[in-house]
Amino acid sequence: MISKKCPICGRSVDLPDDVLPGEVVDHDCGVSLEVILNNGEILLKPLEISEDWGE
Amino acid sequence: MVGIAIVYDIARWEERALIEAIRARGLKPQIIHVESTNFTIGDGLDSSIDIVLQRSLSHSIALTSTILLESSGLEVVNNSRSIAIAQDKVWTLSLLSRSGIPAPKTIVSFSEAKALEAANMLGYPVVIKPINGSWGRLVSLAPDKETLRIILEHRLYTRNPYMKVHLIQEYVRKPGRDIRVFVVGDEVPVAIYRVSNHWITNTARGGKALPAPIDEELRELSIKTAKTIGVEIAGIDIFEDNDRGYLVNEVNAIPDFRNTVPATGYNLQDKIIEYLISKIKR
Repeated sequence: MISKKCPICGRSVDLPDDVLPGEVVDHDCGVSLEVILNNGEILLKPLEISEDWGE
Repeated sequence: MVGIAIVYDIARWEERALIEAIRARGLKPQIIHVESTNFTIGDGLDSSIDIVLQRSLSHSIALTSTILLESSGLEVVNNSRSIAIAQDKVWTLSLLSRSGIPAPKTIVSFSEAKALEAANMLGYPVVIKPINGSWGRLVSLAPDKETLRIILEHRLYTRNPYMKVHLIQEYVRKPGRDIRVFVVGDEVPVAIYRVSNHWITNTARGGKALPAPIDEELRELSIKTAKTIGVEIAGIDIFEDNDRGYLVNEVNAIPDFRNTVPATGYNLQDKIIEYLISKIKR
């Protein structure tokens, strides 16, 4: 398990070891967080829904 | 060893399933997460990549990242041209029309006055939709002139310039469902009915997925549609009209299939990976 800090509430967010960049994690504080990989480091940012999402 | 990469922005059920399908074949998936990657124009990311599957959720990211990967000589499925066509309903419907593929009657207007005139020509109710939307978003049903006038007024005051182009379409009286057909290469491996009491039947909007039979006419129509647009992997939305039979409504170049797999028991993710491998070996 990988532990990261929620960028909104500051509490810890547990991620599975095989988490993928781009995965969305719902945190207890009510925020959806997107996993970002920056030079090998896993970061979390609030999910931004884009109006051009679709199939 | 073949090198299959998946390029995406948001990792959903589909992207995980595709990655697992690559692993299940004893291969190592190459993951290209757009936000975690720099794309140098004309310079390949990794020489071990033979083919790339485009799976981005954002239309602009899907098209741009495909163009960037193609700039370095990589083959991307679907290719940039077919993605651009499928993202544009006017372009798609124009090509379908030129190929003689049946589709709902559609008029495109660039002003409120002409849109109201178009609706009169088609007869109410009419459907008004954005030329580049998805998941049934901002698709409206106007049962009469006053409702259409209000919808057009709302569109007039939105900032999005694409909302100033009015795609007015006949309302096809569907039998409480439409058909989502999946094309993979020259095959039509699986299809679902999207059943809903609402006139918008997208599963993203609550439509229920049920297995649908694929008759020869549906198979041929789907393949012809995919070839016309240039997509190799597609989800094609088809209406059933009492008088005219099948009508092609939309073509999706990066289709969702999380509802199709459990509804049909068909391993579509493996079929897609099998197709990519067959292209590499050709």
